[in-house]
Amino acid sequence: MHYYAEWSDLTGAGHAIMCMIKAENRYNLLGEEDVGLNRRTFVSLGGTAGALAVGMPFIRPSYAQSGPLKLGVLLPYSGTYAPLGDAITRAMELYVKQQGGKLAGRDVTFVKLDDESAPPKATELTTKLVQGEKVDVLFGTVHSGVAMAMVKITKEDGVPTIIPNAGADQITRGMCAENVFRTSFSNGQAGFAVGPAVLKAGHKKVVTATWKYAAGEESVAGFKRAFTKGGGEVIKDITIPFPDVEFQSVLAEISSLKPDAVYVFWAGGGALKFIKDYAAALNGKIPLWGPSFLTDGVEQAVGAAGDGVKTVGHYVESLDNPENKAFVKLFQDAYKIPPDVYAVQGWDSMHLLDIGLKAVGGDISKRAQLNAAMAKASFASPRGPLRFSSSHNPIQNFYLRELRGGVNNYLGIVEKELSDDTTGCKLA
Amino acid sequence: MMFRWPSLPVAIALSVVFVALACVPFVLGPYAVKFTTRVVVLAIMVTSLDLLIGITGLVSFGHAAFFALGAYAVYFVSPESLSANALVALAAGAALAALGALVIGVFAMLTRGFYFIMVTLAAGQMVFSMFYDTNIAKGSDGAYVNVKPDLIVGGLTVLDFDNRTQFFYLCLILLATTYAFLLWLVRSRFGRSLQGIRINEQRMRALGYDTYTYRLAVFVIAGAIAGIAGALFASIDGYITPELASWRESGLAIMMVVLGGTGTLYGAVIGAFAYSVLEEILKSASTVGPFISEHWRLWMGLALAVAVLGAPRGLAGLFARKPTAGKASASIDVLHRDFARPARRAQALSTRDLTRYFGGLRAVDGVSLDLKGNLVHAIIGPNGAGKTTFINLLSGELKPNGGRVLIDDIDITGWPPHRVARSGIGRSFQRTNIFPDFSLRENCGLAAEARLPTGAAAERISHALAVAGLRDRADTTAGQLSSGEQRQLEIAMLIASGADLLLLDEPLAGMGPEETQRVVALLRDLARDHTIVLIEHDMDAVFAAADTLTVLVQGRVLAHGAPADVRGNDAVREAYLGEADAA
Amino acid sequence: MDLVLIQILNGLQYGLLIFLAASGLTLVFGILGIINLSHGSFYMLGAYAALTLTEPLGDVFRALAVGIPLAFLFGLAIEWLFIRHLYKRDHLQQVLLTFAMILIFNEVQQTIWGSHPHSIPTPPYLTASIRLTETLSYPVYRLVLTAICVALALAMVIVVQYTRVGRLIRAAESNREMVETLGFDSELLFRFVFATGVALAAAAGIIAAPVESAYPGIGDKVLIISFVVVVIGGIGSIRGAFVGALLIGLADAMGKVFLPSLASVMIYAVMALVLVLRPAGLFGRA
Repeated sequence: MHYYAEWSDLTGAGHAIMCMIKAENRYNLLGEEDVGLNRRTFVSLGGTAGALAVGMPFIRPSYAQSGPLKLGVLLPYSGTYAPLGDAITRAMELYVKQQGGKLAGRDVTFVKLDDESAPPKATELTTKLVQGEKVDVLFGTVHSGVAMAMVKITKEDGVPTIIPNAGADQITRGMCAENVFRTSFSNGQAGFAVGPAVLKAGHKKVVTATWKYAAGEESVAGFKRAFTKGGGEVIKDITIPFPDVEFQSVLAEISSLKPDAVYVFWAGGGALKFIKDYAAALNGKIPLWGPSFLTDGVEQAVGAAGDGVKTVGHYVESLDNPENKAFVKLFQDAYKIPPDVYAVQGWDSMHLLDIGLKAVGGDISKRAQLNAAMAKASFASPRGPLRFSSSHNPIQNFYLRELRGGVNNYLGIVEKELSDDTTGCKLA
Repeated sequence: MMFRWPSLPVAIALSVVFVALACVPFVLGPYAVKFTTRVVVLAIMVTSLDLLIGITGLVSFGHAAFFALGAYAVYFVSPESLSANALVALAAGAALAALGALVIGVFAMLTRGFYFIMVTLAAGQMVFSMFYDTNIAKGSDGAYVNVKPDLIVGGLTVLDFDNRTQFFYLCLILLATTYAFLLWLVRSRFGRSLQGIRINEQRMRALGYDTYTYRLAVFVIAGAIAGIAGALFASIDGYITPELASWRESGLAIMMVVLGGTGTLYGAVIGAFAYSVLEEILKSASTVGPFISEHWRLWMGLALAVAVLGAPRGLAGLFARKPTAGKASASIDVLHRDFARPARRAQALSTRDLTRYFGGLRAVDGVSLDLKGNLVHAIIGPNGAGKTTFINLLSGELKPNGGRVLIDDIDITGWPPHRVARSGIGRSFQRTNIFPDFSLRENCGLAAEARLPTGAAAERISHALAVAGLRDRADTTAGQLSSGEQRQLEIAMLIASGADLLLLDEPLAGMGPEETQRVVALLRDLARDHTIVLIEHDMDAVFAAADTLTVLVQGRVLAHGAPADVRGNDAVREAYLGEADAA
Repeated sequence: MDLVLIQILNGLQYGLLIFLAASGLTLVFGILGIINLSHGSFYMLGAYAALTLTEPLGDVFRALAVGIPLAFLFGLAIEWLFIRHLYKRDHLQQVLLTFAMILIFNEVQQTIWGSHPHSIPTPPYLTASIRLTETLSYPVYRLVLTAICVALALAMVIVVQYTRVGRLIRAAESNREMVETLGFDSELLFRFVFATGVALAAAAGIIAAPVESAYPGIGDKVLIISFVVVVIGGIGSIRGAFVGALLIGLADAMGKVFLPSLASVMIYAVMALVLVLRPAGLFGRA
C-alpha cells in the first residue's frame, strides 16, 4: 500500500506542539495586551489542523490485484434523470447479487457519484473516480453531455468503460475506443427506428420537439433520416433548453402547425410532464410518437393521459423470452416494482463485464484481452439477442409499443437487428 | 489608510505558501496536482475580482462571465485536431474577455450600488445564455479543446499544456505575476484614484476625476485577467461548459474574495484556497464520514454563514494589522516654512439667467451674476432660497433647465462635474465630503493628483496642509478629526487641487469662534490667488470676509453689492431679517 | 395570429406568477434594504410545501390556505435568526450570507424531499381544459392561477394604499430613518415585511406547483427573474414590479416562439434597455 503524504502529518503535529509551547501573552509598547498574537496562535493551530485535513483526501491507499474489484459508478441520483440512475444501479447490484456477490471469483465494491446530469461537473467527477479512487472499471452515465466528457477522460486513461444509457452518437463514432462500450443504444439509432413505424401508420407531416442538447438533437436527426427517406416531411423542429419543463409554448406552436403526428424526445420527469400537458392541451387530436424513453418508467404515473402514446424501443416489459421472464421476476421480487429498459441496460452492462472478466480469469490488469472479449460478446439479454457493432454499440431489435392503462403493450417488431451508424469510428 | 504593501509576517507567510505549492508535484500525486492547478487558476480570477470589489468598490456579480469568455476563446482559436499556440490562446482569452468587459462595462458603469450588482448579474446570465442556448460553441453540452495549446519555438517545445506538472508551474508563476502586477497597479497613481472612488466617488468627481472612465478601465483590466485565468482553466481538462459563466460561479467568486478578506489582494488567494479545500474535505466521505459528505452543501453554507458573521474582514483580517489610528506625528519637517504664495489672477465666474426647477418648484429662477476674480463673494438667504442648488448648478452636480454659466468667457453650462473641476472650480459640500478612511496627506494627495504629476504634488500637499493649519496631523486618519477640522481639511484639499475658483457651501458650519476667526482670515488670505464664492449663515463672518454680498430669496437675486450697501437695503431687511424697522 | 394570442395569454399568466414572487422581493429590498438571494428558495419551499400538504389536505387550494400562514411564520423565524443581523452590514455581506442560506435551504430540501422531481396533482374539479382553437385547449387551472394572482395583487394594492400598515410601509420605503425617529418599532415592522415577502414567494410556489412540478433548482430561475423584474420596475415599487413582471412574461413568451435561441437573452435585453432609458427603473426613485 502506498500513502502519498505520511511525513507531512508528523511535521504538522510538531508545528502544533511548538505553537502551544510558545503561547504566552505578549504586550506591545503601549502596554496593551496584543490580542492579535493569541488569535494568531489559535489560527495557526487551526491552520495546521487544516493542513492535516488537506492532505487527507489525497492519501489514497491503492489496493493490490487480489483485493475486491472497485467499480466506479457515475450516474444521476438527482434531477430529472434520477429515476433512471436509480433503475440502472438497482439492476447492476441485482446482477452481482445473483452471481453470489462476486464476478469471476472476485469480490465487488461500488463507488458511486452523483453526476446531477450536469456536464460541467463531469470532468471533475470522472477524474475523481478514475485518478482519485482509481477504480478498475467505470460505469456511467445517463446524460449524453456528461458521457462525452467522461469518455474523453477514460479514452486517455484506458480504464474499461461501460455506458448503460447515454446515447450520444459520437461515443460510438468519432470518439470510439478499445475500452469504451455501450449496452444501451445510440440516439440516432433509437430515433431511426421510429421512422418506419410512423410512416406505416400513415402519417406524412410531422413536427418534432425536444430539449436542445446532443441527445435530443441526435434523436430527432435519426428519426428524420428514416422518416424523410420513406417520403415523410418534418415541418418544424421545436426545441427548449434542457431541462426546462414549461411546455405551454411548445404545445401552442404544435397546435398552430396542425401536423399529422408529433415526434418527441423527452425522458424521466420531463417525459411525464409532457405527456400530461399534451393530453390536456391537445386531447388526443394529434398522435404522439417517440422513442421508448418517452414512456419508460412513467407508465403508471401518467395515468389516462398516456393512453394511445406510441413508442418504438429496444425493450418491452412483456417480451416473451426466457431471459426476460426470469429477469422481470427477479427484479420484481427484489424491488417490488417492475423493471424498465434502463434496468435492462444496467443488467446487461454488468453481464458484459462478467463475460469479459471470465475471459481473463478475473485479472483486471489484462485490459487488451478484456476489451477484446467484451467486443466479441454475444448473449441473450432480456431485450432479445444482443451483440455489438464494431464501434461497441448494441445491435438489437426494435419493437413497437402502445401505452394503455399504465402498460406498454407490445405490438410487434419494427426493426430486426438494427445497428447504429458507425461512420467516423476508427475501429469500424 | 490607503493600500499598503503586505506586512513582513504576511509577506513571509505568502512566500512559504508559494514554496509549499511549488512542492506539490513532488509530494502529492497527479490528482492533487490537477486539483491544485484548478485552485491556482481560480485564485487568479478571484484576485482580479478583489481589484474590483476590494479596491474600487465595484461589487460585480458577473465576473465569471469573463472567466468563461476566456475559456471559450481557447476553444475558438483551437483547430479541430491541432494545438493552438499557447501565447495566442492566452492572449485570445484576455482579448475576448476584455472586449466583453468593455461592452458590458459601458452600460454597467452608468449604474451604482444595487443596480450595478443587478446589471452585472444580468450580464453574466446573458453570456451564459449566449453559450447555452445558441450553437456558437456547442450549446449546453459544452465545447472541447481536443488538443491543448503548446508553444513551439524553432522546433523546440517550450511549453506544453498537456504536461500537467509543467502547466501547473506555469499557472503558479502566472498567479504570482498577477499578484505582483496588481500590487504595483494599486500602489500607483491609477490605483490611488480607484481607492478614492471606492471611498467617495462624488468627491473624486468634484476634484476633477472622470470616474466613469476610471471604473470602466479597471473593469476591463479585471476582466482581461479573469480571461487569462479562463484560458488556463480551459487547458486543464480541455472541456468548457456555459455554466462557467453563471451567476452561481460569480457568487462563489465573491464568496472567496470576502472569505479571504476584501481589499488585501492576497486575501483573495487565501479565500480561493480555503473554499476549495474546504469543499474537497466536506465532499470526501473518507475524511469526514458519509453523514457530512452527503450533505456537504449544508455544512458549507453554515461554515460560510459563520465566517461572514464572525469574521467580517475575512481570513486576511485575522492576520492583518489592525488599521492604525495614525499617531499624532511629530513633525519631521524641521521648519514650518511659510513660503509666500505667488499672487495670481483667479478666474471670474458669471451666470446668465440661470434657472432650475424641481417639478413645480423654481429653485433657482433666472439668476444673473458677475462675480469678479480674486474677491470673496458671499451668498446669503433664508433656508430654501436655492443657495445650495445654485452652487450645484455652478459645479455641474445639477444641470440647469435654462441659462448659462461662464468661467471667464468660457461657457461651461451643462458640463459634468469632473470637467467643471478641471477648468478650475473646486467646491466644498454642505455635508463635509472628504475621504474619511484616508490620512490627511492622502486626502490632499488625491486632490493634487487630479491635475498634477505625482512629483509636484508632494510639495503642494505640504503647503496646503500648512495653510489650513493641519500639517501636524498630516498622517492622522481623516475620519478621526473633529467636524470643524474636517471642514478645514476640505479647504486644504481645494488648495492642494490647484483650483482657483472655490465654491464653499457653509464652510464655517460646526466651527467654534476661534476656528471661525482662523478660517475667515484664511479666506481673506486666499483671495490673493483665488476667487471665492461662499454660502454662509454666520453674518459676522460674512461681513468680515466678503467683498461682495448677494442675497437670494426664493431662487431670485434680491440684492447684490458691497456688504455695507446690501445691509442697508430695505427689501433685504424685510425679506431676510424681518420687519424693516425691527429692533 | 392564433399563436400570438395564445402566447400573450401564456405570457400574462407567467408574468402574473412572477409578479407574485417579485413583489415580495421588491418590498424586502425597498424597505429593509437587504439583497436577499435566498428569495428563490422560499418559492421552492412553497412548491415542496404544496407537495407535502396537497395529499393530506385534499387539494392545492387548501394547501395554499395552510401554506401561507406557515410561510409567514417561517419568514418571521428566518428574519429573527439571520436577516436582522444584515441591516447594518454592506451589500457584500448580505449577498454572501443569503448565498450561504441558499446552500443550506437547498440541502434541507434534498434531505427532506429527495432529489427526484415530483408532480403535484391539479385539483380534480379543475382538470378540464377550455377549447381555445380547434386544436388547442387551455387548462382551466392555469386560468384560475392567473385569477388568484390578480386577486392577491389587488389585495396588496388595497393593503398598501388604504390601511394603516400600508401607509407605514410606504413611509418606511420612502424614509426609513424618519419612521424610526418617529417612534415606530422598526424591528417589528421589518420582521412583518420580511415575513410578508416570504409568504408571497411561497404562495407563488404553491399555486404554481401543479403546473411546474417540484424539483431541486426551481428556485434559481425565479430568483434571477425576480431580480430582473425588481430592477425594471424600480426598487420598492409594487406598481413597478407589476408592470415589469408583465413585460418580462410577455417578452419571454414571444421570444420562445419567434426567437427561440435568443429567448432567454430577451429578458436581459429588456432590462438593459430600461436601465439605459431610466437608470432607476420605471417607477423607481433615483
